[in-house]
Amino acid sequence: MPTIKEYPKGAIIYFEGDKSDYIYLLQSGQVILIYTSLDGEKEEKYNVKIGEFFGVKSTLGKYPREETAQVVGGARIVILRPDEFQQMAFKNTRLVLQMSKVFSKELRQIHSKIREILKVDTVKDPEYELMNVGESFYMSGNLEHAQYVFEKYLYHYPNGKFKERAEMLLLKTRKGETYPIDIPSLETYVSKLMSAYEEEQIRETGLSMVDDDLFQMPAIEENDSLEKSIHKLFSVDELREKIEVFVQNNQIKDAYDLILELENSKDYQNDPKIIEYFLYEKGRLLILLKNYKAALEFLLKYLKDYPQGKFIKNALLQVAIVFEIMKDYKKAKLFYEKVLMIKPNDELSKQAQKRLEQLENK
Amino acid sequence: MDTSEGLFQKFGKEFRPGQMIFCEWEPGDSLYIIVKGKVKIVKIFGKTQKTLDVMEEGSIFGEMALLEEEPRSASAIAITETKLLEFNKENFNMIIQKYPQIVYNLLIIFAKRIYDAKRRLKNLLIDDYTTRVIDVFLMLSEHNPNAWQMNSITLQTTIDDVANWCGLPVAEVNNIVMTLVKQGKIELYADKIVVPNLKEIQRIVQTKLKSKRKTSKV
Repeated sequence: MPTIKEYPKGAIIYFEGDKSDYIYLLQSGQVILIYTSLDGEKEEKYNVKIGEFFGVKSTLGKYPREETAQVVGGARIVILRPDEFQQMAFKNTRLVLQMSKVFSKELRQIHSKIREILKVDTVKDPEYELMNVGESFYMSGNLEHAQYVFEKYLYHYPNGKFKERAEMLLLKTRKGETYPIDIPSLETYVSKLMSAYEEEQIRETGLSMVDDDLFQMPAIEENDSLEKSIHKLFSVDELREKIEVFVQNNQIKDAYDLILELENSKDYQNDPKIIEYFLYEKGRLLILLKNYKAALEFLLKYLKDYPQGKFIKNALLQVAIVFEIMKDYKKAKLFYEKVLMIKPNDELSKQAQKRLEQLENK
Repeated sequence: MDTSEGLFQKFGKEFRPGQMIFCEWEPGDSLYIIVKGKVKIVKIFGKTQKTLDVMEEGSIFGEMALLEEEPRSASAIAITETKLLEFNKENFNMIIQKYPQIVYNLLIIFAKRIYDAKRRLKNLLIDDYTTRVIDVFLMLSEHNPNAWQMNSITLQTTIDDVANWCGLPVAEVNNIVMTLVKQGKIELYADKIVVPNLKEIQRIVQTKLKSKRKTSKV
């Protein structure tokens, strides 16, 4: 039988970090839960309502208390062992259902916060990844599971971009053949598909829809540092200026080659800031070189690898631009909106705002 | 698990050993309960497959599909002859009334998942990168009471995995890990990372977080 206990004013029911043995139900009086915010900076308080359970999650999940429960003005509390709580729950399905809704809502919220920080949703294409899982199984010699994945791929993406490839590989798994060595890897297959798509785009539109000023960086004031000796190691900002001069003179290919050259020189191989910058810059230059697929790859990698990076806002804007060029307006909008979420309201924000407005009219 | 024949006739599915139940990145809206048998949860990292978990009778898996419309985050493969109950959002709400123990089990799973997800989020919210990386080692040790008794743990993990956990670029994590190795706080091997003194790294993280709390109050 559950016990009922009267607590005096100020009593502690349990401390944060205690072992979680019981579930509590507040019958009357006042109880507060005191816990530390997730970022560890603030102390937060919650008033338990009359008729509300507390200490449920830690008891069911068998982990230590995450908060301290304190009686404020005297309280009458029902104390349940886990098995008693379970018996009660079975008799009262509405209660369990209610709780599972509260729990699942909380879990969803935490997951979306995690995704926000990791920016995972911006990086991966589920269609490509599913295909990739199938190929991984196939390459490791697991034909049965590969076959399953290719079947699922064709089921979920009947007109998908890897349709022919999936059909070909499915046939081979059914025949029990080993993974063909004479086909391009999935990655190169993607870039081939993309270049065919690009050609079509260029023929159709001549890319006239893309304003030239779209690619302009916020103006950089020229100064003497450009004349500095070649032997000196450049900082990110100095390199950026250098590259910008090439871009202004429309020598995009030269700028790109310079980066490749510097990447291969020993001087910059161990400088994480430079490596970060190069990744972003290559993405931007590839857009100018009209190699959108590769550009997207670099820029998305940048977003994934440097969620707090120096060029995060620039990269988001560039990704939006690529999607716009590729006529994926939904994704383009999404990324322009992401740009606007990052303060301050600078040139990049204004560009994003402008593009967004034009997209609305489409 | 206590389930009537009728329930299995309606929602039951059988799998032979090695058969795939669902695969990573597959769109899916069903949750599964194991009536009989064993199921492994595997995920592909780069070119290798890792078993994340083995589930037995009475376990529930694939439950995230009820919450969000995301592709599966890992594959589920039957290890033995396996009998499952498969529910989607609609019929799940129907059976809840009849079989409260299923929802109750789900409640327990959610409670555990919330804890793990909160723990992960706490880690991601640590500003200082070095502290965040060290905290990943703590996080990965927390479900292992044995390790805390021994005050040391061998983690089957790589720098890439660690970078994944804490949402930082691999190059960055690599630098931090190398510094920690030099300081003797961890030992790095091709396929594992050893923490020789768990309590020491716990102290480091706690001190860092406390000092932050103090400065933010001022």
